[in-house]
Order: sequence, then C-alpha cells, then structure tokens
Amino acid sequence: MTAVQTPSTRHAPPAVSGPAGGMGPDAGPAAPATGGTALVAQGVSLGYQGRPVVEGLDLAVPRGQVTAVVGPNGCGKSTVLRGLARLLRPTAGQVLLDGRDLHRMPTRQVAREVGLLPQSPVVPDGITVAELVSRGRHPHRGLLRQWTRDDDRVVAEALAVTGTEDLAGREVDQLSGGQRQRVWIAMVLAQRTGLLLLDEPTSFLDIAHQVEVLDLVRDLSTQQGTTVVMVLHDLAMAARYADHLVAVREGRIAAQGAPRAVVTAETVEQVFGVRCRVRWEEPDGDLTVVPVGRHRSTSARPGAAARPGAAATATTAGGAS
Amino acid sequence: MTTLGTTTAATRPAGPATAPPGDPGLPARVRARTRRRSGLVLTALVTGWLAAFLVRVLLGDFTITVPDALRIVTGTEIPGASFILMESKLPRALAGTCAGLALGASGATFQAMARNPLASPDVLGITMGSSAAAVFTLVVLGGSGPAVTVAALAGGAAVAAAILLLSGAAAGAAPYRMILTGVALAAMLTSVVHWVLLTADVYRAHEAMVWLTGSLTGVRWAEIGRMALVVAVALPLLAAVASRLRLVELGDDLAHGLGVPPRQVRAQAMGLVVVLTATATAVCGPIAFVAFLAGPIARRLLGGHTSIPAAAVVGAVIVVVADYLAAYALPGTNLPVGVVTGLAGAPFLLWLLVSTRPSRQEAA
Amino acid sequence: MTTLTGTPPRVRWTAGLIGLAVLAVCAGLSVAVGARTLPPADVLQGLAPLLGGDGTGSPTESIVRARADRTVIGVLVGVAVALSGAAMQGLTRNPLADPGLLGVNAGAALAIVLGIQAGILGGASGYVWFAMLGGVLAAAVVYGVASLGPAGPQPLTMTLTGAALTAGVTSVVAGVLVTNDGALEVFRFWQVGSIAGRSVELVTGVAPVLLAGLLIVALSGPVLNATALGEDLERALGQRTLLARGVVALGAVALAASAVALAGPIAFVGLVVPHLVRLVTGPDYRRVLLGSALVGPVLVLATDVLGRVVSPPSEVQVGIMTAVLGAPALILLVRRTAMR
Repeated sequence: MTAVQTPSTRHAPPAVSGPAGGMGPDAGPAAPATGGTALVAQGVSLGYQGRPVVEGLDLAVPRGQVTAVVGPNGCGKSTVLRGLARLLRPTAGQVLLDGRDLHRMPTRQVAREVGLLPQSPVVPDGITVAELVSRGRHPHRGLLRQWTRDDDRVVAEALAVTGTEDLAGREVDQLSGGQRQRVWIAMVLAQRTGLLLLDEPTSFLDIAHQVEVLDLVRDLSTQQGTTVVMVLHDLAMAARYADHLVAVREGRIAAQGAPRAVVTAETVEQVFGVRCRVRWEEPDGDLTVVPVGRHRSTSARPGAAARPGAAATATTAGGAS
Repeated sequence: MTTLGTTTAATRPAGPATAPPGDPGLPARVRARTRRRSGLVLTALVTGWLAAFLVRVLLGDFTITVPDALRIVTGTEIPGASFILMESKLPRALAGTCAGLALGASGATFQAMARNPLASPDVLGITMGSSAAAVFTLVVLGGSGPAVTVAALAGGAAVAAAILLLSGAAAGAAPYRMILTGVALAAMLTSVVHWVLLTADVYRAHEAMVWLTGSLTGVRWAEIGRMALVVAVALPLLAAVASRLRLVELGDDLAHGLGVPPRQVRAQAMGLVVVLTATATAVCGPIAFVAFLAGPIARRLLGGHTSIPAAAVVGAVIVVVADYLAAYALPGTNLPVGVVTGLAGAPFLLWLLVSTRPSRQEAA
Repeated sequence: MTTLTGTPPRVRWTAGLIGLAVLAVCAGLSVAVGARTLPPADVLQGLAPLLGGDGTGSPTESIVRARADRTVIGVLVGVAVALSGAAMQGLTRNPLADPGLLGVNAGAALAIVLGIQAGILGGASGYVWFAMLGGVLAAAVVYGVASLGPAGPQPLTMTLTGAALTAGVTSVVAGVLVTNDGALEVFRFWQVGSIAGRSVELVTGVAPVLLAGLLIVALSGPVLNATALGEDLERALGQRTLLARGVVALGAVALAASAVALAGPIAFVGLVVPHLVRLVTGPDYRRVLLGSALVGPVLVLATDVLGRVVSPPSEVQVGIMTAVLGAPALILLVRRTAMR
C-alpha cells in the first residue's frame, strides 16, 4: 500500500484490516475484510439539462478505503461525485449502495448512510462551530426524537476526531480556511455515515492546510474504517493519500486501480495531456511527477546544484492539471 | 490523541482503532451559552412588547388606569373610557401585535431563505402583490372585509409562486435571481397599483391610499380574530419548517446530503410566509419595513443567530411602538402607522448596511 | 471576432439606419394612432401648420397638434431615460442600474409631493427642480449606502437598497397624500408616468437641465469606457477619472430628473435599452450611448402607442406599460446573466 507519512506523531496501524465498515449502521459485522464494495455505479450516465457530461460510468468504490477521483478541469469528476451522492439523477444506469438502488431509497435513509461535503457549502452568519457540527445530526432526528446525550456524544467525538474541540465556541466565519474545512468534515462526521463523499476538500487551501485535511481523511479511513470518495485536482496528493485512484477524462474513466498502477507516464499524458516523468521514490513510496514542458527554470538546469526538494516538485506537478 | 479501549456511543460498533471520544459536555456547554443569550433576549423582547402594549393601551391623549382597563375588559361600562379602549386602543394594540408577529416572522424567514439580509417580502413584491390585489378589490370591485383578505392572499401567493418559478428557485437557483425577480415584480405591481388609483374616483382613491400606507385605524374585532387565528396556526408551523431551513442555509447540495430536500423546504417556507404576510397586509395594509427590519434587528440582539420567534416579537414591538408614535407624535394628526415605520426604516437600513459583516454567502 | 470590436461597421450602420427608420415609423404612428386613428393624409394635413404651412383650423388639426406635442415629449423622455440608464450602468458597473430601480424616481416623487404639500410648486414646470433635487439626493443615498457595505457597491446591494428606499419613500409619500386630498388628486396623475397632455411649454422649463445632461452624457463615452475597466486597471493605465465620473453622474441624474419632471416615473426603459443596444454595438460606451439615444425614444413611443390601443376607449399610460413590459425583460436579463 501507499505508505502515509504523517507529519505528526500519530501512529496509524500499518494495515487497514477489516474494521467492518466502521461506524455506519449499514456496516454489517458480516463483512470482515476490507474487500467488497460500498458503492457501485453501473453504466451510469449523468448530465445537466440534457447535456451529457458523464457517460457509461462503471465504478466500484472499495469499502473502508480512500478512493480519489482525479482528472483535468471540466472532465466531469465533480459530476461523478454528484451522481454518487444522489444530487444528480442518472439518465441511464444505476448507483447501488450495498446492493440497493440509491435513487430509490428514502432521502433520510441515504443521509444516514452517505455523508456529503460539497465544494462550496455556505457558512451561515454568526454560527458557532459546535452548532454547525450539530446540524450534521439532522438525519438522525425525527419529529419526536429530540436532541439527546447521544447526539452530544457524537458531536463531541466529531470535534475531537477533527481536532476542532478548541474551536467549538468560535464562530465559523472567523476561522482559517484549513480550520473551516476541518469543521465541515466534522459536521459530515457527526452524520455518522460509513461512507463519505468529499468534493475537492482541499481546494482553496494552501499546502499546509491541504496536508492537514488529507491527513485527517486518512486517519478516518485507517482508524475508523470509513469509506471515503473524494475528488481531488492534485494528482500527486491523490496518489499519496488514496488507496484507489480513478482517473477521469472527458466524462469517462481512463484508468482505475492502485495509485502505482494508475499513475504512469502514459496515463498521466493520456488523462491530463501533459508529458511528464513519473518516479516512485523508494522506500516511502512517494510519487514524483515532473511535467515536461517547454521550459524549466535556470536554477534547475544540470549546471545548477541539484536540489533535494524533489517532493516539492511533486506536489506542484499535480497542480498543473 | 488515540486512546484505546474506549466505548463510545452505542450507535457505533467499536472498531479496532477508536477515535478519541471527545468531551460530550462540550457541545452542550457551547449550546447552553447561546441558548442562555437567546432566552435572555427573548425574555427582554417579550417584556419590551408588553410594556409597549400597555403604554399603547393605557396612555396617550386619553389615559386609562390599570384598574379601569381591567374593569372595562371584564365587562363594566365606563362612559368614554370604554369606547376608546374597546374601539380604538385595544384593537389597535392587538392588531399591531398580530401584524407585527406575522410580518417579523415572515421577513426573517424570507431573509434566511434568500440568504440576504436585504431581501424581505416587502422589498420583493410579495406584500405588493397582496396590495395590488387588495386595492383592485377595494377600488374596482368595491369589495371589503373577507374579500380583501382573500384577494390579498391570492395576490401574495401569485407573486411568491412567480418568484419561485421565474427565478428557477424551484430548481435550486442562486438566491440573487430570486431577489432580482422579486424586485422586478415589485416595480411592476407598484405601477399597477398607481394605475388602479388613477382610474378610481377621488374618494375611493383616498380610501385605498390610507390602506396602502399601512394603518391600524378602524380595524375590526373580527379582523383581529382572523389574524390572530392565522398567526396562532402559522407561527408554530413556521418554527418547524425553520429547523429544516437552517440546513438549507448551508447550501442546496449539503442540505441534500443531510436528507433535506431544499426545494420542498423552500416551498413550504414560502407558503407560510405568504399566508402570514398576506393576512397582515389584508387587515393593516403594507406596513413598511417591519418585515425588512425585524429579522436583522433580532439577529443583532442575538449576536448573529437567526431566530424566527425573536424576529416575530421584534416585529410586534416595532408596530405597537410605531402606532403609538403615529397616533400621538404630531398632536392633532393621526398618521397611518406605515408612515412612521417608513420614516424610521431608512436610518435603520443605513445602520444595517454599515454594520453588516462581509460574508461569503454571495458565492452561492 | 465580435467580442473585441463589437459588430462590424457595416452591420452597425445598417442597424443605425434601421433604428432611424423605426423611430420615424413610431413617430408617425404616435401621431396617427389613438382614440381616433387618422389616415396618413390627415396626419400630413394636420402637420402642415406645425411645419409653417397654412392651417385650416379643423378638429383634425388640433388632434394632430396634441399628438405631435406628445410625440416630441416622448422622444425627449426616451432619449433622456435611456441615456441616463446607460450612463448609470457604466458608472456603477452595475448591469441593473436604472433610474427607477436605483430610487431616483422615488426621490423625485417625494420631493414633488413635499413641494405640492408645502404649496411652493408653481405648476408642472416647477416640478423639474424638485425632481432634480429629490433625484440627486436619492441617487446619492443609494450609492452611498450601498458603498458603505463591506464589499463595496455590489449590483445586488445597490438594487436592494434602491428597492428598500423606494418602499420607504412610497409609504411616506402615501402618508402625505392621505392627509391632503388636493395633493393626491394632482399627484396620482403624475405618479403613473405619462407623456399625454403635457404641453410643449413644459419642455422649455426643463430644457436647461435636460440639455446640460444630454451634453454631458453624450460626451461621457470615454469616461465610461475607462470606468468599465475597473478601478485597479484604470489606475494602472494612469487614468484618474474621479472628477469626470462625478460630472457624468450628475449629468445622468439630470437626465433622469428631467424625464421624471416631463413625464413622471417611466420604469425599466433606462434598464432595458442599453442592454438591447449592447447586443448590436458591443461594449464600447460611445456606441452604446448613441444607440440608446435611438432605441430609447423608439421604445417609449412604441409602448405609448400600444397603451393607446390596448384597452379602448381609455388609454393605459406609458409608465404603466413600460413597467408591465419591462419587468419580464428584467427577469429575462437576470436569468441570462451570471452576476451577483
């Protein structure tokens, strides 16, 4: 597997072995292995107002793992996620959640099993972190079922997991981008679903905050067995943090599988249209993707001193998408 | 950070690695803090309303003592005082309260829905729809009473439906479309009202004009009863919808993700807004700025939280106080309450705009 | 290729000529059509004395005369409102700017009502100064208030401020009218916005303001083009047009106020016309202004004529007609533009 080098002292278990789907009520104890799929798309076509964007999508999301959907701008990767999240009704095919047709399930039931963080959620004025995270409990509340200690416990746990406890009383619109994104993730966690769909969770964040958020995603998967599907535009980040990569190009899947199988010079050129050199660093399995454009900086020419910061190139490489 | 062997919520099977349990008291404490403030503010508001109500009923150019007032209300006849209390002061105070509650609550709801503090039923033409229909009924059809109420309801509903349909809000469009569609409809209906006024004879035009200004003069007990009934039914319903509207506030996609269909919630909220606004408008006319201001004022008092009950009470306070001023501020003239709220509204609008914090909600 | 330079010159010229022809047709219709529609021969005969020929004193002649006055006022109002709208849209970089939407009409209305109330308004020609004063004040308040917001004067904030101001002012106006039946009787005829029954003498009262406004706005193309670039770019290009912009703003309000004084509030024309024109001319404000001056009167005359035939024997005033037809246009505009 792709080893995850977390900057903190957290110790993730070396392998994710069957946490039984983690926390969702859908996670039957009968599924002990990581194997199996949580969400399956079969021949799904999606579009807006009759304009097809994604066609014939076949996709299997492995349970308990992190799946990243990558691709160039406008390739339809967000549309794929919207289809999986039930925001878009497929014009053909079906999406199955544990074998059930997602679009035939009651809305509230889906909300109890699938958590969704869209790209640009709206922060209401003056809302505190604790209050925002509490809103994630909505699917579990009914007309008669009021707020309970249990809800409090779940919210507190979501705050703790995302490291936002200290922020609980603060107003969300006063937080930094990274903090705010963690709060949003806490809100989706409070929903207590075994499956999380994240649409570009790192967009508009600087590199430190990107790492912060993706480390959190990784932790969720390894520690809680949460299945995560996220759209990322940064190929290097995706390869570093995901177990399973799905590369999308012009509304179709160009390649999917383990990052090492997917990220090759050929697929990168095919998907992103950029020639590049791909190198997997041993022993930690870091990926370096260096685009081969027409130019390079003078300091990086053979004459100049070779700089050790190849990993820095790696992260900017995907950003070129 | 990772602790072992914790048993957390019963809802969750313990995995091999468990998350930190967090402090279950923490969210409760944060909530308690905001709740304390809400409770305090709401109590203060209700007290303020009560004070305004008593002042409106007891003081003015004809003072009635509390014991006298109690005796009158329980059926004793006191010459002079009885008539003034039962035919002018008390009905006006009650009508003002009901209308204020209705307008305040619907304004706050609408602002939350449009995600813009400047959008309210009176700015966006829903009130104007009620007005146009009511004026048409008053002037052209010569109707009155219940007919005007029905017309106002129909007019308001028509505009609300038009806003939802034309702006594509039914399909989840950006709030700005909703707002601008409303502004367009408001401008159109204003000129329709002007035209109706023009075609009427002067007497009718004057009558319509008084009504258009928003006035509590001459409200009848039957009208107050109708209004009170609607408010009593619609306000709790609105509070129920508001809890789901809070999720729609987070954006349509996220609301979907949380199992709340935004379209449906918007339609329900809009329906209740129309019923409340139109009922108040039918009885008292379009009292300017109450719906517009109640929500933001309540929000300021609560430190940024949207609270529909608080907004409703703020509305009631505004109307009752404004009506007192309208009746007694200029000796000898009995101004319609709408003139006072209209005049007072402008500086408030200024204050609101100046003190509104920048928000990212425009990105929606 | 159309994005940078607008449409090719040939198309522009053709469009201009067609516009002129349509204006002529509208003017002709405006004189001919009405409660009593006249055949072309009668129109020409009736126009003869106006053009210096011999009058016969026939009733046809007086009808033609009245309608000719009305047409002239319609043209002036159309030009003024459309130019004012185009200039306001350019100055505020707000595609929704319009004298009506931004509260100028409401301010003018309030000033006029207060003038009537105080008894210091000497007939309709006195309206213009009050309208001007009220309009300038309202425009300043709306722009100022909208600018006070943290994000600066956003189109949406500005429109809402205008709408809010209009709502408040309307209720104050109503409050005054309630206490004064005489004012109501005068004012309710004014507030619908009509070009009928206004004498050409009114024009002479308004003329200085109107001409000054016309002159300023007609020459404001370069200023508006510079403004359209945005403040940062404008500064980077070394243009400081603050003063010039202030003058243009005054000119735009002067035009709006003269139109209000002449005809009462005419809604939406100032909003819609520049957008229609831009479809042909592209974004260059020199051409937008020119086109607006042509299309504005066409729209006013056309809707006025429509108002005469829509419910005979009575007429629907042009202000009502433009509001009823203009609202859908605004909604359409909002649906098409991705703006916040």
